Amino acid sequence: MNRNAGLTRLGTDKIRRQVMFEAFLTSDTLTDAAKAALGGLTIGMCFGFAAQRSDFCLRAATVEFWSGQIAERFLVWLLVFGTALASVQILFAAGILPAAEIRQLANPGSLSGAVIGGSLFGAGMVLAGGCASRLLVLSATGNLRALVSGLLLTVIAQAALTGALSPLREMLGRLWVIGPNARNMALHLPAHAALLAGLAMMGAAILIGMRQRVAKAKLCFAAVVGLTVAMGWAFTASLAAYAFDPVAVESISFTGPSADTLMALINRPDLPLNFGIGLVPGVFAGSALSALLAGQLKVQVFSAETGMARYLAGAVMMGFGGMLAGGCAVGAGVTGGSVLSLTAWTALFAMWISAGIAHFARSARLRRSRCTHLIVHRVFR
Amino acid sequence: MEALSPSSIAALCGFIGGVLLGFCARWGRFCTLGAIEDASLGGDFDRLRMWGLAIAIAIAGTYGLDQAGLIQISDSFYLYAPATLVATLAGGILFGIGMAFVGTCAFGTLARLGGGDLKSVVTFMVMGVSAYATMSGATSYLRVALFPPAAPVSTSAGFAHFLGRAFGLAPHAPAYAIALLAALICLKSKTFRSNVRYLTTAVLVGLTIAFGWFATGYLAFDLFEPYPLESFRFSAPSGETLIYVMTMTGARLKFGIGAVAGVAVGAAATSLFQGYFRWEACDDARELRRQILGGLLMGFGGVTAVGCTVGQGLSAASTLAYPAPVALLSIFAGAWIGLHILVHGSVLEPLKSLFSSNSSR
Repeated sequence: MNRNAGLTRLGTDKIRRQVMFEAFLTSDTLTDAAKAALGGLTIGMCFGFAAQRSDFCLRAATVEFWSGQIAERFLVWLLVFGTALASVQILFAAGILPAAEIRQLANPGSLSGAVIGGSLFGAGMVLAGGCASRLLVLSATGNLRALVSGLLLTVIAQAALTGALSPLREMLGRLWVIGPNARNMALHLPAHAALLAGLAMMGAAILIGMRQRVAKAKLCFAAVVGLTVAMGWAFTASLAAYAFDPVAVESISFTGPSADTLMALINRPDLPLNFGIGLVPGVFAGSALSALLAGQLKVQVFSAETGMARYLAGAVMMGFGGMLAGGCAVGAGVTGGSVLSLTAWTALFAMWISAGIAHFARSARLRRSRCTHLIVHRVFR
Repeated sequence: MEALSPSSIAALCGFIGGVLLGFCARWGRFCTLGAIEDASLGGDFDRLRMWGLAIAIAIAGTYGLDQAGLIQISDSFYLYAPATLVATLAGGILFGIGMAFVGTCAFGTLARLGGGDLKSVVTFMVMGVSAYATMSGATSYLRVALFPPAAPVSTSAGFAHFLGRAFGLAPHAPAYAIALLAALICLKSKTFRSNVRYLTTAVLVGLTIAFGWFATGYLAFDLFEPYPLESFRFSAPSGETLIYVMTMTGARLKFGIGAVAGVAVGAAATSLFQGYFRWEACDDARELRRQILGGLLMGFGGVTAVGCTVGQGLSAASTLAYPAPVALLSIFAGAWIGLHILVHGSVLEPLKSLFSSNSSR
């Protein structure tokens, strides 16, 4: 009896919340662009908080994988990817997310850009010690190294979009273009294959994670990171369905939005509000809050071992590569991957391969320099 | 020349002049903060004299061009819309503090960049973003709220024009007199007179500044597509260069963009030629923090004061505009405060030392 009443109350709560959400989406007090930005801010805060807590990092995952370890960082990445894939497929199945309005599926895309850009991005993130989103999260925790690399990445990304590097980007992108039909992998896969694959990845990550005693909180926060990607898709899709002005259906991504945010910051007259403009400050605030609560705010900079040139080179490669590939490790690698865009999967694959090559090249070089050091030490002592 | 638009001509000339200035910075050790440090810490005023002689030659050159009718110096925004006194003071002090933190000014950052110093890439980027945001972005609200923008004045706001009006003369004679006086004061020192490298550098810098006026006022002159009269400055153009690289498809070249690129190229060529080119990085925690903070301050201060050490200290000074000496003095004051903060680690320390020296007197 009591339990039934409780369930009913839960149900009405849910309905009331849904009504409130609809009221927000259809209200006249805010423009649709401002609503998108507000949504981006909120979802960004969740992403930033969870990404900081789970140490979500594609670079660390690839380095672990190519060193032959299946450990914490790799499992966190796998759980994020699996959760995002499975939950976004559920959104598709529930009819919330229309494939025809998703840019990554409905427009022609560049496979050559995905291969070249993804490779540049992958090697760049190994050099700079983190992908675009990781740099943003780290800079919010007081890492000046990440802040500086992130700023350079953003400037180069904007230069690749509209500036000095855009002719080169367009030339590389034109080499191999595929149409919307080829781009949407869902059209070529058996039904529910992606959902099952996502669930399998989640299951594997959780099982191995439990066996390896990865902290449960880390796994939970990794799942939250994956869910925020689905939240972004669901939010922009719902807003686009209600909105009077056109609203882009998109989710979490960093290369383009950080460039937009920087331009908005330094160019007042045409401040264009959108999901991405809210997202970047949101992620920054979320990670800063998380680090503050965990007592992990700490100013960090370049050191003799980390080297500065390496970081700057990596940032340049990521800024250009991310724009060319149509997204960063999260924008293409998770968000684009979760809607089964072929270019995004290609870019993600290229990132994994080239991160591996960069990792091996770097460790070989480090070994060699250590050998030389040893020889020099022995001979001259 | 027919094929080039006025802004392209201006940018090209800016580049050529920038290369010369970059050469002067590396070869002749032309550096404001260096000059201040030499004077205040080492008692060696030669580099400050180099600065003074460069100004004197720039004044003579600029007013010579005006007298010859090649340029109309009263069209310069330094003379017809001078920055307000408060903005010049506050901006200059902030710029000076930033300059002390970074270890050199906006121009010097570019010269260091050319020498292969990677931390200057960071400083330049932070300074450029900060400068552009102060011109038209987030921090411009703050600037406009604190310092009302300069309004055009009816009579040219310069010392030469003032003296000319007072004695019923053209401004040229007073300008030459001031230039001569400044040159004589600087050349009084025997060590400076015998230093050929410093003398050459000063002459070259002075002529380059005058060339800047000539380039934008005469070479880039176009009745249908007017190009504003300007000479070398480096705080606002750092931001404009950054924006140009980021939005090339929808942007126009400018004199300052060419100048920024020119200084880096000129400095790189000179240091390669001298064998001083080194890839350098920044390995120290506090050092990088100082660079970032200094870059932010220089970007904001330089735009607020409408000029950096070169923009106010040389270009505005060559027109003998009223704010130029105020800006230079406040930049010096800021640099002094900044150096004290670096040495003593506190903002209050400079004030304490000021009061104690007063009471001991």
